[in-house]
Amino acid sequence: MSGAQGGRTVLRRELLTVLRTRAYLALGVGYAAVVVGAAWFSGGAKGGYLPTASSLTTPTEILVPVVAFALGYRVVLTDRSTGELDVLRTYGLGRAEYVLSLYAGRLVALSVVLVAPLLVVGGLVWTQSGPTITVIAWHGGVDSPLLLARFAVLTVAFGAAVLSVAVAVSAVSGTVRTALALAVLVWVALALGADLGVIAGVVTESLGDEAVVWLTSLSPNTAFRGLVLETVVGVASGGVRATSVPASVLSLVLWTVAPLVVAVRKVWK
Amino acid sequence: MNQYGYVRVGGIRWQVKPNRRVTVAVAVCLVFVVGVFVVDPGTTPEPVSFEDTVQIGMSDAGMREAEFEGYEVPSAQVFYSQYSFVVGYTGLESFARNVGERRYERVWGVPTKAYVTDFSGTQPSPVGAGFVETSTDPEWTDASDARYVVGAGPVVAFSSEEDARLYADEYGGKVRGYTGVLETEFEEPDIEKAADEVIAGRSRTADEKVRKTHRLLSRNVSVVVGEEHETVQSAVDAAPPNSSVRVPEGVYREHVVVDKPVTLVGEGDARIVGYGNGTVVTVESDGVAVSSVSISGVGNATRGEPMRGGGWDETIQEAYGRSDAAVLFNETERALVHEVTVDTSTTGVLFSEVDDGVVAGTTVNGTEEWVNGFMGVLAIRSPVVVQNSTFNEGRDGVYSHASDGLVVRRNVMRDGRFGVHLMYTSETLIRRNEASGGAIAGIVIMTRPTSNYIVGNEVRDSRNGLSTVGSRSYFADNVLVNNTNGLRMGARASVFTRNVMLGNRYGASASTVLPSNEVTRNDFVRNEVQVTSAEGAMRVWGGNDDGNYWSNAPPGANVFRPTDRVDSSVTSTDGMVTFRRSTAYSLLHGLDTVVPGMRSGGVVDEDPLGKPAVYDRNTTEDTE
Amino acid sequence: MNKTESAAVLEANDVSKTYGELEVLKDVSMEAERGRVYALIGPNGSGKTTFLKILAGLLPPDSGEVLRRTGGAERAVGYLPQQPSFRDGFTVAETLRFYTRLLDEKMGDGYVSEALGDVGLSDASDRHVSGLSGGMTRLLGVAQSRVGNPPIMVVDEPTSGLDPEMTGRIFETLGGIADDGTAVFLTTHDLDRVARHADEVVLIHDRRIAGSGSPDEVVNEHEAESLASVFDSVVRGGGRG
Repeated sequence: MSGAQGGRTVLRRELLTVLRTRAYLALGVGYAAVVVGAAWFSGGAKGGYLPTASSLTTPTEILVPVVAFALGYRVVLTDRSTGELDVLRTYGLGRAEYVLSLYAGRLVALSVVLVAPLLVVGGLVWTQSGPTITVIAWHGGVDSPLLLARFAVLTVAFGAAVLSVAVAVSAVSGTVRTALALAVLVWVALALGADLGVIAGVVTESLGDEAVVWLTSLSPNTAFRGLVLETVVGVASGGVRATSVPASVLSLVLWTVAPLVVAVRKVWK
Repeated sequence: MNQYGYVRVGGIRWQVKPNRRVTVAVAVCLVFVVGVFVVDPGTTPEPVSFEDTVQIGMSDAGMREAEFEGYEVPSAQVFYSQYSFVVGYTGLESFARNVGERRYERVWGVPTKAYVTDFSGTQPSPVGAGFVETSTDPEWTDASDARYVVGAGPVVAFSSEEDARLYADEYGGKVRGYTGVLETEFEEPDIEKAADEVIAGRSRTADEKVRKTHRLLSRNVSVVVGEEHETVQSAVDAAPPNSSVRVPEGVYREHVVVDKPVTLVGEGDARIVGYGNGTVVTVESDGVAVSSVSISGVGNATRGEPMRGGGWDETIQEAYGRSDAAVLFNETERALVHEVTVDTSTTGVLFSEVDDGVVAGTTVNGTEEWVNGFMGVLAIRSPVVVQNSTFNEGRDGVYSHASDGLVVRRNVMRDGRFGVHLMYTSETLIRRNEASGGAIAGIVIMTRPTSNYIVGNEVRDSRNGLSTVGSRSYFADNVLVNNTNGLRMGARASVFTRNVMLGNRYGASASTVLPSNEVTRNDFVRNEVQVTSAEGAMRVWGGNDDGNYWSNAPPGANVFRPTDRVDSSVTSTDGMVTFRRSTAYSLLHGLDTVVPGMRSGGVVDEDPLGKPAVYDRNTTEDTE
Repeated sequence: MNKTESAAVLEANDVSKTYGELEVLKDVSMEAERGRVYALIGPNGSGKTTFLKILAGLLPPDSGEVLRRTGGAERAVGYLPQQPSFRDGFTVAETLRFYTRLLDEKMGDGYVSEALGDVGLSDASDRHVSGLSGGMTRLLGVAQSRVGNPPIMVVDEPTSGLDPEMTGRIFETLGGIADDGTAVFLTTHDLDRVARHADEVVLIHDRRIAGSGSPDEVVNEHEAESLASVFDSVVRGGGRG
């Protein structure tokens, strides 16, 4: 028996599970509605790809963890409580194989949920933006669908990191209640805690100014926000950096890998 | 990894049988992910037709003159990273000043590409007023590769270093590179900081003209009409130069031509009544004053042959500068109209090519319907002073054409078309006038002039209060009450400060497509719609603790979006505040001022004031 | 069964297990052969399930060893947890197909329908698992635990909560599986069924095996009337054993 075969089977089942769970479908539709609505009602879509991406940054930062947690916080837990984990082990499935396949399956689903509305938004911008005054030469500034594509890639990378955290939460939790509490705790810590901490440090001058740019790589949220500001919004402006790109990329990679390692170690002994 | 190799993940040996489809899909994803960050989203735009750019720099008058004479104005066109339109600079000085100006960078982003007019091979020579004479039309060249000659008339760009050096040698300038020219300090003081000085300077110049002309009122009386000479004309003919002709109470039916430096002084109800065709008093000499008479019986003609043919504005002069008037000064100096009352269906006082002209304490009554009337004071290429006068009805209170340096102060304009109407006129001071009932506007500026100072005026009950275009101008301390449109901000690179917009249908309209104004400490008080904005870009005002006061802003708001439906009705619609404070609203608008130049319309005040900057309920009230 | 296969397929030697302070198993040893049904009985908390999981290899013993002589079997141990439940949103056939593919992606639908037939679920193959009765869910679990024909099958409380008819079906099915050459381990409280269907009874009490052998042997050894009275005397009688 080859490991890849068991992994592929688990991955396929995860995909089918997501596809067949109405709640996830509703989640995807709801998320898409918010993203498309935000792009439209913030006025971004009429401006161009860059203003749209900048308008979507905050909603994305808040909602992506919600979607990722919803998709991931129970995956391991459910299999454990039904005895499924024990069953799967008798099929020779390894811990890494199981966790990574589970993760990969959910990640594919998450990516679709995150990218699909951005395609719609891209279409909106394509049709809605453009010269509002036709007698004046219009060049649109430094704007390109490429910038929205960058935003999409960063969104998926951010989602991948948070999904990984969610899978780890589900792997270390014994009950749904614990998992839910942990998920909420982690979400608050990511969405607010890290920033509050850094801001408090800056305000009280316990953090030096030279530390600030590195602290932008602290949480997946700050890394995502910094990367969007730097590589999407920042292309149209000069001046100070929003983040260190290599450090934030590394941060997202670590936030993706480390929780998965934890999940692999904790899923069973 | 061989065909049946393994990879080690999570401490476990994974047998991997490579699947061609999966491998290809993963590779495509990787290329995409890396590719979108590697590929430069910017494109290199080609130069556009200069007429299609949003222009800033030289006034329309200057541009028209250049066109008429066949001169070139060294120009630049700049593509900014965050601004959707192409910005055109007439005059490379203005280009050099504005590129890198932090206040603009915030709104427009950084220049991604700039082109300048290339004078290589055009045999250029400077001809003054910012113009260059050439043998052929210049093409566009990349600004960052060009060489610039500074200090020999206007800054001129060349694609060839050799040509630049020859030009510099011949006309006495220095050759600079792109960064060199950007670092050159071109004198242009901060409008706001220099405002008091500019206003004081222009007031002094006006005071000097007033003093100089009012001396004419102290001439000795040499002839009294009615004693030896029955008509004013014969008295003028008889009077020696530099004396006064006294006009006693009575009605004098005649037209007068004053061709020597004398002063006409009325006594009691002295009326000069024309024949109803042509101009009543025609002045053809320097040093003439008309005082304390009333004049009527002016002709109906508003058009005629230009007095001096040839210029770029010939047709304008023909259309406006040759109308019948109560008093006409034609190319004369030291001209004064003092405490004169005019009833006219055309023009009151017409100055043509007069520098030291003054209208003071005078009343001009025009036609009831403005379409039938003409101008109270008409200044053609005449930087005159109009003060303490009243203009009732008729078309425009004061109309100026190409009269750079005009001063209009402390006048009252009622019920005409425009109170003050500036055409091709720069460097004016329009101060402390009161206009009301303007069919179209209180004070209106047209044809993109520069450096006009419109200060302390009050306009009520007109269709438009103060209507602006042009650049580097200063609009301060004006009070605009109960007009349909209070303030029309068509001007660019200008300062709007301490103006009060009160009870107008529309308080202000940010109408220029080039957001480049400083809009600070203005009071928007109870206008039905506080502000509207044209498409083109989002206007971000404030940012330095110096935003504006909005009577409909919630107390303590640290950002206010007066054009936003939710924000602007927070204080008037029950419940709206709950949604204004929602996470959703914050999410929608969290980063919307990040790239204002690429957004579509709207005004955001980043530092709304908690209380009015100047408006005081006790001193300024609605007329309703 | 040929002779070589009659050798012990599973051998537990001196297995001990402690959870924190609580010692659950102490030096427990046993051997098992293919083709037989082993019923682990004992009171609640006696360590039946722990022992079962150790036998299945799902739980490492603190000391001692478990040897499984499963040769080249594709799957060494089949396992059916207590109260199994399956992923929502899939049919019975899809669910079984998932498990077969874990072993062999190319295993055909023929295997799946045959396996469902073996446990009597042919008619239910297109039903969703969430709509199955407790008994049918258990039968599907049995089918799952059989995937890959493991020589050892470990079944935890397969009949708890089931009606007598379904209990009977489960025991018959498990018996059939044993007859096909599998060593079947199960835990249960249904001592009547054990007496009828088990080949060997393993009575676990007070951390050890308090008695083992065929049901008749155990009854005879304790001079009792039935397994239930054996159970009563061992468990209630405390020190007498």
